[in-house]
Amino acid sequence: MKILVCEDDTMTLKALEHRLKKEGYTVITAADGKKAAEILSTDTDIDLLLTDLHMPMLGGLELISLVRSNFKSNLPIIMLTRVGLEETVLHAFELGADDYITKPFNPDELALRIKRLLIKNKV
Amino acid sequence: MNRCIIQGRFIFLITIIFFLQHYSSIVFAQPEKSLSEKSESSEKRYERAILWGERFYQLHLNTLALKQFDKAHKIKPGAYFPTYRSNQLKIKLHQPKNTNLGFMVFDFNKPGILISALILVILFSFTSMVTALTIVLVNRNHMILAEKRKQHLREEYQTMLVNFLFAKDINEELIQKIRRIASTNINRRILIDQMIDLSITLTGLEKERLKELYLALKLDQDSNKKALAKKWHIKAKGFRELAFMNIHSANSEIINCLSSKNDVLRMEAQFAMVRLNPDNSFGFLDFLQKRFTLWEQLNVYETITFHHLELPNFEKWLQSDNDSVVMFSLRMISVFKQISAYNSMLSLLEHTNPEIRNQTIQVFGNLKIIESLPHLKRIYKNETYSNCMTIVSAMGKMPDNSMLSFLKLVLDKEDDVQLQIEAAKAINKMGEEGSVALTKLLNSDYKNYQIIIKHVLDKRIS
Repeated sequence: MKILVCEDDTMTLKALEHRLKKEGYTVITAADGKKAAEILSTDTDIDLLLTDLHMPMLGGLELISLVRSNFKSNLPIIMLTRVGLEETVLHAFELGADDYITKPFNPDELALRIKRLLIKNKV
Repeated sequence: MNRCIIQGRFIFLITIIFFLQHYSSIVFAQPEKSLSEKSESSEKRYERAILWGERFYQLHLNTLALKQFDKAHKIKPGAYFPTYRSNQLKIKLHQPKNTNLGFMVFDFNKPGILISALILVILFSFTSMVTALTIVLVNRNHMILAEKRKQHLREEYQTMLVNFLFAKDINEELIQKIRRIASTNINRRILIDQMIDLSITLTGLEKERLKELYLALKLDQDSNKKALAKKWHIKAKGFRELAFMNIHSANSEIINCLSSKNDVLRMEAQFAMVRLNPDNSFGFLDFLQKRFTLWEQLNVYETITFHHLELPNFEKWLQSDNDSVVMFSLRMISVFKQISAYNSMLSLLEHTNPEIRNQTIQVFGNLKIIESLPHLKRIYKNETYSNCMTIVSAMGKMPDNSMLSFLKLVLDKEDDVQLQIEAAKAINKMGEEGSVALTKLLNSDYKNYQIIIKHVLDKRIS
């Protein structure tokens, strides 16, 4: 399973990459939405997108919208957001996000959410 | 004034023209006959030497003048004038240097004090400029290199920390490696920063492991030292580190800084207190003397939501002597919907501070406490304009038919259009009964409400 992680904070990106690799996933990283979009346009094997909402160049909301309209309409998307951004989260769901997790996050919880979403998508 | 300036400029210009004319006539005046003639008679050469000698003499270029007069003397050894001038110039050249600053006479062959000073100033300026430029360049280069090194270390530590946190078993070798790295102050500082970054992102088991590592490396001692430092910015950093790593050792120092005059330090102390004192996170509100600024309030609110802190009953600060604490409590009651504070809030409608009364009315509206409506109606006539607006707006947020007659009265009796609009909006929100009432008023001949009611009923305007 291949997961694209899009996060501008290097520390969080490394933590996510390491944790997901530990779970046995192939992890591709992108430091902003623009890079993620480029990867998505070339790599068609990606099974899940894990994206932060606030990033430079292309934000998470725009990325979700782009994915849903241009690339894969059924690609599972999980958002990483800060607490207290309920309206943004709702907007992201409207755009087509499947799940979200708030920072600070529990890596075990994230791994379980990813697993659940991948199984659901497979079914 | 302008006339004086113009006159002054004119005089200055005339003076400049005069000097230019004078000197140009001396230097650039053409000799009577061409000098390029090859077959010159000794008379002509003599005259030419005398002419140039005189020019140089007038310009005080004594050595050059002397050469010309010597030349003339050689052509006509018996002539009186060149001998006289030569003797005169020889005497002059052996005299002490001319330092007549008023007339600005420079002897370029033997520079005076002014020339020497000017040369020194130029040399000093040039040397300073070159030195400054070199220092700036070296410093800049040094900073770039230091930043590169820091960035390299950051990346290295990030990888190491992540490896440590997500490893299945405790990797002693890795711990020893991190311990070796953490032997210098700079490295420890970078390591702490990275750990704080991670602690912001993670929760659960990984965060616990991070704290264990932080304690094992004795980085808490560094943070403690910072918290006890004299410089406020170091202190503030120490507070933040301790708060994020949940270390309680400097709590007394943090409490001391809760009433600091320094806004940033006070805010950091509040933030640390909220994080480090779970039993009484908001205890600092009890004895906060200074104004609890909006920025501080926002930070505390962010801390509550970000760290999922247990909420206190904000009702207990509604009677605080510090008005800003009361305002904050009201805002928190509204955000976290602590309706149980209703009775305490009612007494705030009689508060001397109109801003607190206004905030209370807003909270009633936000929480839709219909029981407050008669009280709002009661205080309306004695309230300030802004509070009257808030009352009518709050009534619109919790539409209740019992207020219809009151709102109609506001629409009828008030002269202020904004108040009338708010009242009409509130009536409109009352559902069918409100719409009927507005339609009746629209068709009524009693008073012309048409513009206001049409405005409120216009669905294009929300």
